[in-house]
Amino acid sequence: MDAASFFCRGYDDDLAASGVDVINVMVPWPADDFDQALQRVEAYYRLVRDEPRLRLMHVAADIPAAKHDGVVGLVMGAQNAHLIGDRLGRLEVLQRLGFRYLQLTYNHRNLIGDGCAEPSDAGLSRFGRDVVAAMNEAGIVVDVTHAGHRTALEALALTKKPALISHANPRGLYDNPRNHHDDVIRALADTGGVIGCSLPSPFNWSGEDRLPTLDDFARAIEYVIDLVGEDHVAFGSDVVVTTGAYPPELSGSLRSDLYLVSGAFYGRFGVEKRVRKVQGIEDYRDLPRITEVLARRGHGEDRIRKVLGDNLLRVYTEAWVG
Amino acid sequence: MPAEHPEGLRRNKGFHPILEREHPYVFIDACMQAWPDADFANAHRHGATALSVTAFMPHDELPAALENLMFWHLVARKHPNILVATKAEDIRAAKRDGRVAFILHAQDGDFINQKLHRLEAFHRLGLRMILFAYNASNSMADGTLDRTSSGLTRFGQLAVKECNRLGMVIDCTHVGKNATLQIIDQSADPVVFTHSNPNAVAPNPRNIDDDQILACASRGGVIALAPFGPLVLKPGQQTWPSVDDFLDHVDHVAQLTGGTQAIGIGTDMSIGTYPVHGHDPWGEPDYPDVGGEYARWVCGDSRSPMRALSDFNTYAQVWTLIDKLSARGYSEADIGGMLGENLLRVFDAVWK
Repeated sequence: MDAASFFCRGYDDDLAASGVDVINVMVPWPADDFDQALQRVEAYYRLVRDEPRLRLMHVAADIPAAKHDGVVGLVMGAQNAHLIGDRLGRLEVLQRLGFRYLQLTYNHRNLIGDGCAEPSDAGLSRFGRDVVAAMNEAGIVVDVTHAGHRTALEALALTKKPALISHANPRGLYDNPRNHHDDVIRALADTGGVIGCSLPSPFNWSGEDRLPTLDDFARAIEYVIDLVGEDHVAFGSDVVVTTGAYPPELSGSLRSDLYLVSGAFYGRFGVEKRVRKVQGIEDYRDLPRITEVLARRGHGEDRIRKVLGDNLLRVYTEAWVG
Repeated sequence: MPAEHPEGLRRNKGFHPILEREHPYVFIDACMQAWPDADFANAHRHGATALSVTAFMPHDELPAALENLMFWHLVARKHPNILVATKAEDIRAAKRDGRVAFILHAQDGDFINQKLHRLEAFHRLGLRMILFAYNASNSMADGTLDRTSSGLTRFGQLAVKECNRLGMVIDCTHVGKNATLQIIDQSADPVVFTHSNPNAVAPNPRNIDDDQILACASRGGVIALAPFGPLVLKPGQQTWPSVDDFLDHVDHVAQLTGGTQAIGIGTDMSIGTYPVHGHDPWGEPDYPDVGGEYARWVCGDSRSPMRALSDFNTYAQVWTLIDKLSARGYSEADIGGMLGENLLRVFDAVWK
């Protein structure tokens, strides 16, 4: 299971080669309003209608069923809960439309809390507290990726269901504002949740004059295991599913965000595709190398299963409704 | 002069007493309104099994339409006696379990605003019936009170196909005549009128012609006749219409279509207090008058129970309807069909 990806445009050879069974797809773009979000969702309805090898996941039992049937399951979510505006009722709308996880914030402040790029590091707003409770009730997993430190801690203290960091690494190992400090990861584990360790180079870079590798990524997983145990780590690639599908206009609009959180890395190595992810991973078809590197570093099969999907499936089983 | 409100009726706006004697029928009200102050806790005890609730106001834009649509899910969550029906079987189960089913019904397509995907989104949110244009013409179809009757737009034709694909019942009430005929012709599924009466009995710009009734019936659809005073009032009638007047409409459609299988009931009643109509101070189009005669002779207050029939203005009075249908010679099967089974047949066919 991949806890964090986007832009699945169809079933292709890359997807088949990836070995991934279930993908968390971030359906709306981070700046979308509600109306735009609905249109992006509709595109996925059409996608699965026309492609029997792709299927939307609604209840936890759909996940083993997808694996059994040999189809790829898509879990819809979004990177910025600002799309609900100030309307709590829209969380139920999103749940009924198929959303199963939702990031409270993107990099910036919204009505719910602060993103990781905000200098103020304010916590959850009053509305944000209501949002966490409403997400718990609706069966949408609270994802604190991209959230500021205090916002993440406060949301994790509040949630009554297991929470998620879908794509970030431990900041105790790699000091990037998009990664999370040890106290956040401990609080996440206390909810029964999981952190999906992620492949972008800046989140796996300790400041050395070399590009990060798959082994650096594996060290992020090992750091989390040392910190909170092997039941609280997962995998969130942050790699686009369909190679080339990432819209240029979106990368353009997010460029300033990129520098805001990872300016030091991109300033040193540039922003070309080959440096964006840890060396060894460029496209979705490269994902089997995750399993290889974990096995090579001596992790057993049970642990690898947990990292690749069992832990995340446990979270969904506990947090989704129905 | 219009009659005075009987005092009890004035007090009991939107209030329905509890049915004292159960009836055996699945009674589906094809069109009604519910408001936040309704007696939801007793909504299953009024005499109707399913209420096709107008989920949001005509002409609501997307945000208001969404919020109002979701309100009914909230009501159902808070009241275990209420469920939101998305399959015909839900309505049968409601009858068995002594609950009441809401059918979420849109009395306008304005909120779609040329974005076809919104039909699927709203279907996923529980909407199961929609009329394309409420009296005024829009980007899908003409409204029945508007100037033109040019039919479906190109987008409206797409919307018919999309409703068929999704399993959304298309309602032709309030829609311009030519558009209704085109919808009936183009729709792969049977369609309905949720609250319209025959012009042959009561000429009114909101009522429908015999060829519309015949076309709808010939495709397996249902015309839910409206025990709603202004649409029942016959030419020259100056008294509050009764069930007997309404049954003249039923008789006409039964004779016209050769049976009762195309007949349903859509009361246009409320549970809870109907809001005061707002008017745009900048002006309103001069739509043909639907209720002028009624206001002159019976009652001009759109919030009054006197807008319904003198002897059927609460759900509990459904017995009057049942007894008088029986007195006119309709069999139990006919009555069961008209009260609900005919609509269930359409829901079975359309809701997937």
